[in-house]
Amino acid sequence: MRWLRNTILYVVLGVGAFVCVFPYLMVVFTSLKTGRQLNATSPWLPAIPGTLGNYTKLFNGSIANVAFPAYLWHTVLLAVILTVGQLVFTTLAAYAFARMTFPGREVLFWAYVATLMVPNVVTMIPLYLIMRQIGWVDTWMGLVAPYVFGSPYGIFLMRQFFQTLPKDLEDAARIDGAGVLATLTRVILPLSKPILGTLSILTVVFAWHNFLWPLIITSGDGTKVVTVGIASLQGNLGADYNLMMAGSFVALVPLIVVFLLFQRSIVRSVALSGLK
Amino acid sequence: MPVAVAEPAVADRDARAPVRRAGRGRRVRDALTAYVFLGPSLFGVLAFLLAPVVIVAVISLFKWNLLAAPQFVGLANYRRMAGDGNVWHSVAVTVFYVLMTIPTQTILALVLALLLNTKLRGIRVLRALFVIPWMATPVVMGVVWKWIFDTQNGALDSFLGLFGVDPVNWLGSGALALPSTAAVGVWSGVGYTMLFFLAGLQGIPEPLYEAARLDGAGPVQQFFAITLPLLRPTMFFVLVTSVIGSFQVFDTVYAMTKGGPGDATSVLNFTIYQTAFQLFDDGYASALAMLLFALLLVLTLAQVLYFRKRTTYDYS
Amino acid sequence: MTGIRRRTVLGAVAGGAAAAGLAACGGAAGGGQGSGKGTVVFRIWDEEQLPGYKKSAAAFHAKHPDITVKIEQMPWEAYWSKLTTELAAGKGPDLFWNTVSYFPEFAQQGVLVNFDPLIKQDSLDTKQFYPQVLATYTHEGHVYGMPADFGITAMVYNADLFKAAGVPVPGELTWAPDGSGSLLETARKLTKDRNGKRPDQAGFDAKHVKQWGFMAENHNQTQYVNWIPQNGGSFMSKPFGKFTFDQPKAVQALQWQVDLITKWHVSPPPSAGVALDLFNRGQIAMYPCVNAILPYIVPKVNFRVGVTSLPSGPLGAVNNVNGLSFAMAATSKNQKAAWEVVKWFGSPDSQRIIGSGGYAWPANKSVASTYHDYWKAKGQDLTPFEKAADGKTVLLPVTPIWNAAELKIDNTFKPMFQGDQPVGPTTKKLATELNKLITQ
Repeated sequence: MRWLRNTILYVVLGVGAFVCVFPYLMVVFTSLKTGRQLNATSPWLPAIPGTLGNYTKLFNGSIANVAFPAYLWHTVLLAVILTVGQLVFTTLAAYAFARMTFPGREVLFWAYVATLMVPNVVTMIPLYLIMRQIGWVDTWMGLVAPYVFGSPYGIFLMRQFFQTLPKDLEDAARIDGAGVLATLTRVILPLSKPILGTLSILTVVFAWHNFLWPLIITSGDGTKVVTVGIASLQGNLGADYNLMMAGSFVALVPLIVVFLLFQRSIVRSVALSGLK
Repeated sequence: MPVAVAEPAVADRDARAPVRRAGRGRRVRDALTAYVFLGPSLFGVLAFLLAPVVIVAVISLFKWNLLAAPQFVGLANYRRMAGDGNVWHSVAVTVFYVLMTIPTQTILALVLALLLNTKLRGIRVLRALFVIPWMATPVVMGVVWKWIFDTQNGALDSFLGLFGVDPVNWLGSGALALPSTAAVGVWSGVGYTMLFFLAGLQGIPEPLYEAARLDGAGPVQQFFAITLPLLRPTMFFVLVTSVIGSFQVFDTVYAMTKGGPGDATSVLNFTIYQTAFQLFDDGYASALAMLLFALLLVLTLAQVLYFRKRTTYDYS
Repeated sequence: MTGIRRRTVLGAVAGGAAAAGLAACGGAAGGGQGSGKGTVVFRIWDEEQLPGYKKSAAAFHAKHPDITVKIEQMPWEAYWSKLTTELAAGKGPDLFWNTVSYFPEFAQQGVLVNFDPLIKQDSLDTKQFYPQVLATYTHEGHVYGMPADFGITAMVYNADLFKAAGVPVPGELTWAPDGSGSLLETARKLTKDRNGKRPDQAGFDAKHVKQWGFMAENHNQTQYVNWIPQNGGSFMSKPFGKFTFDQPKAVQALQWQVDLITKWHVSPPPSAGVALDLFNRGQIAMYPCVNAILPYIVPKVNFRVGVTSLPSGPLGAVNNVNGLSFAMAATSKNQKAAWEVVKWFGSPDSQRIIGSGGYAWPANKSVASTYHDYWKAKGQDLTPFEKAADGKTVLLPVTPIWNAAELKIDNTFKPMFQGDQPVGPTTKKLATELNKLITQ
């Protein structure tokens, strides 16, 4: 009975996973083809023998201007800065919204959420004007400032989670004389690993894919990120699909690694039961 | 152990309770602490997120082609909008898109989260596979999806051809283009949404299920009596944010159909982009953005009210 | 919102406006500002051409040690969004690549520096450039761009498919709205369904075609912008004029292109896939294209590629020409030095570097042959392109709304080329809508 249930589960999940991964499989296959092989095989079939040439080309600097390792490094840097910023400032803000009393709390919170409702196609220009006024155009500050102080999205996510935590735990800590910060770090955060893990993954992936803002706010090669590098391989006439997809796969691998690392904290059955 | 399932309204009650007991000095000190906690985000959000939104609202009262000096026109952009058939068509297309994506995506994600929350060999790898669509570079996936959908060498039509089905024109037909883009939207959003549910499931105390099992509740009853109610804060977040995101869909449409064929997939955000950057009519584009904002505000408010109305559960 | 914040916000808007206003004023004068030294920022989108321009910039720096050219390459994907945002804020590069799509709006809004006084001051000979490129970047009699490169249409063919079908390599093919002429005849011989049947044979299966004789792509530059004048019509009345593709002669030419797909079945419908991909996969025998696409074909295909002329219609050959220009932003603080760089980029010395490296066909006629020599060495004879350049030509539409119009036309024509919408009413409705947009 149990094995039957598991088999069905595996089949269902397997089919679902295949549908999810299939388009990406085409990316991997294409990245292992030469330009001529691309035109000689169906897009969903691998070419035999394949080639690693596209990957070497990405890293040996033979493509004009696409300094891929440098772009990867900038992306990593961006992801780390944003993730650290998010974890610290988002947690603080979300905790305030979820558990503290202060005038204007609800209005402020919904004002945060409201910023998500206006498409960045139109907010981009005003934001650029602001950055120009401050003198942050073409700087790392300008690149990270809109996101590093905690995003409304992350704050919303964390607030929702904090609200589900039993309040008695904090009350107990407060009665024991712990300050607000101590309560947060010693009682709340240990319970928040799943959501902190989720937030970290979200932020890393967001930073990794951020395309338009880095492009608008910076111009130099010193801040170019991976997405911009990949987009450079697609011109207005044609595209170097093989290289683009090799670049995309290189960019995906670290994300999968990050995901596998963080999912330990996302999914842990201990949860609250261990704290009784 | 009592578990207060906090919701927007409940949170107020929770937070207010101790305050009533506390004195005025304590209240002021608490408020100050709160502002200190909020400080950095307040600066970031006000300066870089809220200020641009306010500026957009101001620009919507101007005629501005981005390159020359803006001209104040009052509500002219809004009056023009009211009579602009293309805009209302865009709104309709967007609403259809949202209706096609949100329910499918949310239900699939929830089911997936439940299935992936089990302890099975290889479950970690499976979880990673489901989030790959969300982690893939969007520019590249646009190319690949076009390869999948084209009628000549496309993977989908070739697969259907095995069963003798004639090529289906997925992206080129007025009837199928929007559902096809919506399907891609769901494809890239399911794994991502699943993550929130997965995290939410971790917050549900195991003893509740044990108690329910002792009472003889089956898995289905457990789901409706425990899981779903306790996931409500997560559900609230997921619905609010994915409705906002879905209403602003741009990437998939831009990469696959560019709003076509005809105007079958010209979603509102795409129209806004075109108005601002191709027609250089930023005043009007800002007015359209305000329309989108108003729509989302109303929808979000409706969701807040809906979730607030539901009762609070107290498991003592 | 508090009163204070409102004022700040309005201040920021006003700041942007002031900057934009400044840009508008700068357009009239030009070339005067700056020390004539320092760094000049130059923006392009094509990473394939970047090495060529880096070489050219280095050569320039050797001659003018006090001026450094900083080249920024931005992906095409967001090149214009970025540039527009920067210009709206009164910032941005000193020099940038400009296209016919953005030129009209930029010229009208005074974003570009008028080169006339500078050309006069240095007695620069503008006759050294292809006149069409120069004409493209002229607004109300003033030149707002230094011609960079030249592009023209012709046709590539899959020589292996011709050989296999026993059809002689295409020379100058002809067409007429009723289907007469050598193009359709040739294309029929090269079209096959999955059973090997041709469109003029009984039992031809139009739903499962494996190979087409001709590519009638849903594309303005390489297709109907050429066919319409070849049939005596016009796509647009004149630069900065009105769309006229709904007039009888134009409709007739468009109907012919539709017929190739839906009636004679010698061309794939737009839904079949990307035209370039289909040709590269060996499923298309003849593919009208611009010269700039050759690098995306020649090194990537598994068959021999030949170049021939575009088919010519009832009125003979007319080819669409196009070219990029180097534009100077009116916001540039270093216009004096920037002009030196622009002059260099237009000179035979710089354009020879670009041409001989095969990066682009130089707009400077005196060194155009360097580009053809490059392709000759690669086994491609570009004579048909050169011949087209000497013949009758037509410009891409020059209108401030072209970006939006182009997308609307593409989207509206797509169902038309699939046979889902009739040509007459579709074009009438679209032209009316677009012409209304021009006056708005």
